[in-house]
Amino acid sequence: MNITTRIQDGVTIMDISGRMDATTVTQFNEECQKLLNAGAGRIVIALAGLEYISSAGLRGILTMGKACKAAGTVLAFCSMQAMVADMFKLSGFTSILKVYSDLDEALAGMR
Amino acid sequence: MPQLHVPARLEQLAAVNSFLKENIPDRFLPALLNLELVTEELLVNVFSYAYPEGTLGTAEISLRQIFFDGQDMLCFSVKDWGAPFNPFAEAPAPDLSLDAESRPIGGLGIYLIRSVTTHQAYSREDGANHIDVYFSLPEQE
Repeated sequence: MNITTRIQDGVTIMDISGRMDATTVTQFNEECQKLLNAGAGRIVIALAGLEYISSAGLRGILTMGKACKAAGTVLAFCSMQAMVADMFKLSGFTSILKVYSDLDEALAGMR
Repeated sequence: MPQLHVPARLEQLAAVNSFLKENIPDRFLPALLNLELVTEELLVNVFSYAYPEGTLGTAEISLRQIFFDGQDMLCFSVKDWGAPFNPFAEAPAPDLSLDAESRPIGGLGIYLIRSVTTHQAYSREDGANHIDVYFSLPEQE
């Protein structure tokens, strides 16, 4: 799994590619914690390059969702591939997290 | 029947995924990611709970095509020699209606397995846990 972060229009964008599973989710949790510690107020997690997520990865996503709520940080997800979108839907995450089809839409939704 | 024995350790997931990729029948290729998902969920359970801490157990996985219920299916099996545990009997279904603050972290693994497979079976035989899950042939797009 590869994670890069950048800032655009005052929004922190985290691009994730590869696989988020029981062996890689810790890396995601650590990157998230760094962003929150740095005081990021708006975060978009862009998943265009993420091909696979398991329940371990979904736990990481939910942990991040809760941490952002607690910190008052606005969080959104975008650009999911089919498998990841299926898992978000099955887990009921599409109704408790903000999900957009692409980055432009996510950035517009955060204004 | 393609079969793989692995030490019950998380670091084995990559080797397991290579095994799945090499041995999945072509017709089931569209289900590969779901097969990888089910495998990870089942093996993480075995790796975490089947054997007492400090001991190193093993797991055996296998893949076979079968004709079941009038359909071509892919059967994926996991066997371990740890403590008796039927994940399908003991896992409560998650409450998907809760909001983000109230949703418990975890409890999704078995639910996801049930969601992406057609049948699931557990048996305890000769001191081993034996799990079979069945994938239907993916629909032609």
